[in-house]
Amino acid sequence: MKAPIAAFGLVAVILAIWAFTGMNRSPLPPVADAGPLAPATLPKGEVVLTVNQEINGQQQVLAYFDLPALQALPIASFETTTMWTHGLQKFEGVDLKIFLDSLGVAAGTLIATAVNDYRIEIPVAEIEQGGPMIAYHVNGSPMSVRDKGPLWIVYPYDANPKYQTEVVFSRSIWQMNRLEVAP
Amino acid sequence: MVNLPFSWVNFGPKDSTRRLVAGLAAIVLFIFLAIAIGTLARQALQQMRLLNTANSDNLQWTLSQTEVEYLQFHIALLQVQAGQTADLDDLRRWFDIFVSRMNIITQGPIYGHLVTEPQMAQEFAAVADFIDDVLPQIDGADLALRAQIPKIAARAQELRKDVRNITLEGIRVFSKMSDSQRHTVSETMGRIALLTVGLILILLMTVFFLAKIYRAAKVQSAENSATRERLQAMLNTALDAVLVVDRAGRLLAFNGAATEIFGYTEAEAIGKKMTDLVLAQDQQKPPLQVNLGAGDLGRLQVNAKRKSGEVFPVEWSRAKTMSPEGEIIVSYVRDISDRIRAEERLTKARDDALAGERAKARFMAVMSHEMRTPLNGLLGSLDLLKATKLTPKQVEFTNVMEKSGAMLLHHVNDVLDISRLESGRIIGDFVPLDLDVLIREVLESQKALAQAKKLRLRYRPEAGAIGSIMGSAIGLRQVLLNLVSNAIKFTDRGLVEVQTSLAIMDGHQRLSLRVRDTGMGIAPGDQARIFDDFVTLDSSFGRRADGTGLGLGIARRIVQSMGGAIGLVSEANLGSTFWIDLPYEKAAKPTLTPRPRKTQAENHMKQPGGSAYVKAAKLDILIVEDNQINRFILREMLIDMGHSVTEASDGLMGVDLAQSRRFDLIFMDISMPALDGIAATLRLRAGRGLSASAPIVALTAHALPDDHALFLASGMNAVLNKPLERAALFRVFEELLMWPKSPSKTSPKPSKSARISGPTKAMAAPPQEDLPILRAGALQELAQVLGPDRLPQMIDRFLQEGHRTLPASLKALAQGHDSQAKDMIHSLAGAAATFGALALQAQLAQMETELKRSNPAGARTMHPDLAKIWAQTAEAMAGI
Repeated sequence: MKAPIAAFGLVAVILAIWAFTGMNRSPLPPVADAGPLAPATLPKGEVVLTVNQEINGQQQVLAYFDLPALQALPIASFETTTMWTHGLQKFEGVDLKIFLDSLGVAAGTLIATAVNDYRIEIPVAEIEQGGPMIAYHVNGSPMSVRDKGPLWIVYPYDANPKYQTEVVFSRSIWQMNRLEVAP
Repeated sequence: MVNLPFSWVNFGPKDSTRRLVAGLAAIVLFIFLAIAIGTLARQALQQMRLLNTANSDNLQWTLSQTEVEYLQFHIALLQVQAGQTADLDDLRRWFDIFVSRMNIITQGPIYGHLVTEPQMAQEFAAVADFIDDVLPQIDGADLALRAQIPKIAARAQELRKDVRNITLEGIRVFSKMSDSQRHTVSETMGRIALLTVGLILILLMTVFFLAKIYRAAKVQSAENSATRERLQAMLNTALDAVLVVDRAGRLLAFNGAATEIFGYTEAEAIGKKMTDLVLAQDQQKPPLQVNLGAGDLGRLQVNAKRKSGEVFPVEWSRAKTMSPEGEIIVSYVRDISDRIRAEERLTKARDDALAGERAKARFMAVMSHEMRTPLNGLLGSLDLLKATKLTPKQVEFTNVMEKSGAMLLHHVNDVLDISRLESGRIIGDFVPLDLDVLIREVLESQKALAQAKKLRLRYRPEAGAIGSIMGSAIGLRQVLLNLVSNAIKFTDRGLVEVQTSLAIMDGHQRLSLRVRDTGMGIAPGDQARIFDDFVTLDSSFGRRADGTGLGLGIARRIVQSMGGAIGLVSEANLGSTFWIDLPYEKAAKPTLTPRPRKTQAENHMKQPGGSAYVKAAKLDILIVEDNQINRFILREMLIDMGHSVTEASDGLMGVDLAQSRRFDLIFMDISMPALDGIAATLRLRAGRGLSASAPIVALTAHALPDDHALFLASGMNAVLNKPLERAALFRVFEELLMWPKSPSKTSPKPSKSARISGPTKAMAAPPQEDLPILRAGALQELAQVLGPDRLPQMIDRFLQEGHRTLPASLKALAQGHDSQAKDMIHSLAGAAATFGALALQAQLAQMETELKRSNPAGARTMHPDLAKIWAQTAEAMAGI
């Protein structure tokens, strides 16, 4: 009789610890230590991406990017299929994590908006290096708006099943032109 | 402590097999189900993943977005047309967005079926046409585009319903798809659930069976441990060494007793080869070599070896049994050195006792033999003394001496009989004999005693006459004589009778003889020991009867040596019945009925009343005898009879004398130093000496018929038993003188008639025609012995008796009183012998024989001749 009681006790303790740590992990997004930011300057070329940040309830432009500016950042690249394209596609762009790092964004939620005002949110904490990228080339060519361009957040869907969820699919925003970092 | 190999405790092989099969089946089923569940689960997972991934970019959103974006484009178009905005960028952007959306729908793999749906083909074609038509204008210059706006707007208006249809239809199709997918998933889930239930059931069953097996195993193990403990206890407390070996003969167990017996500790012994360890060197060969092929290993007695090297005998029993590790052999070894020693001691004790018994028997034989020789001297001298002139007082004394001497001789003979019986010599071969005659003869010999006590003495054959059987006449006669004389001794009034009957026991015919008396009986406490030696029941002062107490012991020995049994039934004051049970074997008519050795007492009693009655011509006689007293007695007797005597003290001397001188007669002692009587006779007969053909009379104390035959075969003519009696001596002379003076050398073989020891037979044999009525000189001899005055008186009495007896016997015969007739005839025959009435005596003897053979008719037919001979005899005697 003693053994089952001990087992139950052990299971209960484990469950309690699990529940407690789970609660702890429920995130209260840390306030971004924004600090003083230099005013964003407009690039020479056509702006393909505007990054905003909400500071003290006000939207401030954090950065403007034209395509060369993006392309100046380290180039990420992978091949994958997507459910929206036919056949294997080779994508080139900026790793989202590196992109955010370059902006000094380490926390909060990334809100991406497309030309057609489609909008998604990605918690910054869930963005990992080698994961999503801001693609600007597909199969070596720039993308037009007619073909989900000019920027598309793509995940390496084939590389990992965790990138095959509806959440990930919904976050695969194309024709993206705005980013906002929310606390 | 002995550690048993665990294998000793067996599970039932059947039970364990069944369990094993059941367990295997359960395991196989379990694995099968687990695989099935696993497979299904994987399938379900894949389907779930499909649900998660493949079609999951929120189709409805995408499809409705198509219409939304188309409408945005349309609005932008209308705004431009209405002139509300001069900017064409918005229009162009929405067009691009719409194109992008349509590309996704037509190119994306998940919308594939939608495009190929036949109902949808028209709508898609319409959209494609529109895009193809409008695209150049959108991409064209602003002016050209503006000019085309109304036209594009009109077409866009038409296209609205197509886009709407695509959206609606798409939603319908995908709903259906998703339904069926969900259905598949739920079906798979259902199957998984079912299998899971099955699996759980099996698990439950397995748990149940495991619990059962566990319980059974627990019980079994409890039993096993109990059995083990019991076995262990048995092994440890066993007095025998217990050794268990495997197939290879290596020791698996070695108990405490084994350690004690062999000297090895358990640790030393385990694992060693048993045969090497505990067997003596010479025993390490089969059959003890472990031989598993043989079925029954059985028991052996072998020599074992202790650790010290000492070899000792053991009893070794082995049994083969099965253990899970294979066949094993269990040996029980018992140290039997003590037993063997005890057996040896016992054997030695028995041998010693037997040797003592033999020594005693030998001593008795020698003693009695030695006693007979001086007795011979005493009785012989007494006999001679009686022949001299004595006062009446002296006659009385000599009679007492004679009777006492006869009694002593009787006892000595009894003892001698016992020793002879011990050596199995008295019975002799079984020969055909007439039992009825034999019994009557025995009763006859005891008649005088019975009559003296006024007892009736009779033979009652209950099953009729027994007739001829195979048996030992001497043995039977002796037994019956002992029993009958005993019965007479202890019976004061009433009767003594012998009964015979036949019975069948266990399929064999048995002869039953009973001697019944109406005497004092024997107390139950004494009945068991009366057949022992030297038992006289009444050993108080007033002993009723004299005796050595050997009579029944002799009877028992004889009966047992004849393969029979003897016993008695008795009741105090009512009488006793001694019974004899013998194997019965019928025989053809007996050729002869050997006579018993007459007891000396009888002989003395029956001795003719006077002294020597034969005085033939003076003979030259040689006595060869080593014993001086015997020689003296015989010499005195012979000289008294008027013969001249030469003496030789041993065989060699006798042979020398006989070869150098011619003797008329030679008396030859049988047992002599240097050269015994038989050898001397053979030498004499074989030689060419002067006395080579002289008649030789054997002198012997060996009173056995077989011996007699041997003496006669060696060339002797007659046999005389010691101690010597004058009557017997006279008969020898009578006999020898009836034969040709000198038996021819070429036919030294004596006839049976030459055997003096059986007087009746000897007298009966010669043909009566040749016999003289009166032997010449017989009466003269009588006159010499009796004195001339008394002879006529004697003759007168003899004649009177004859005249009275002959008619009486004839009458008795006619009336069937055979026994009475026989008595008369016998009595008269004795008297006839005394007076030398040879013809009469022979005739009477023949009649007596016929009567003894229960043939009164034969006796009657002889009566006329008897009458004639009697007349002649009476005439001859009256003439004297």
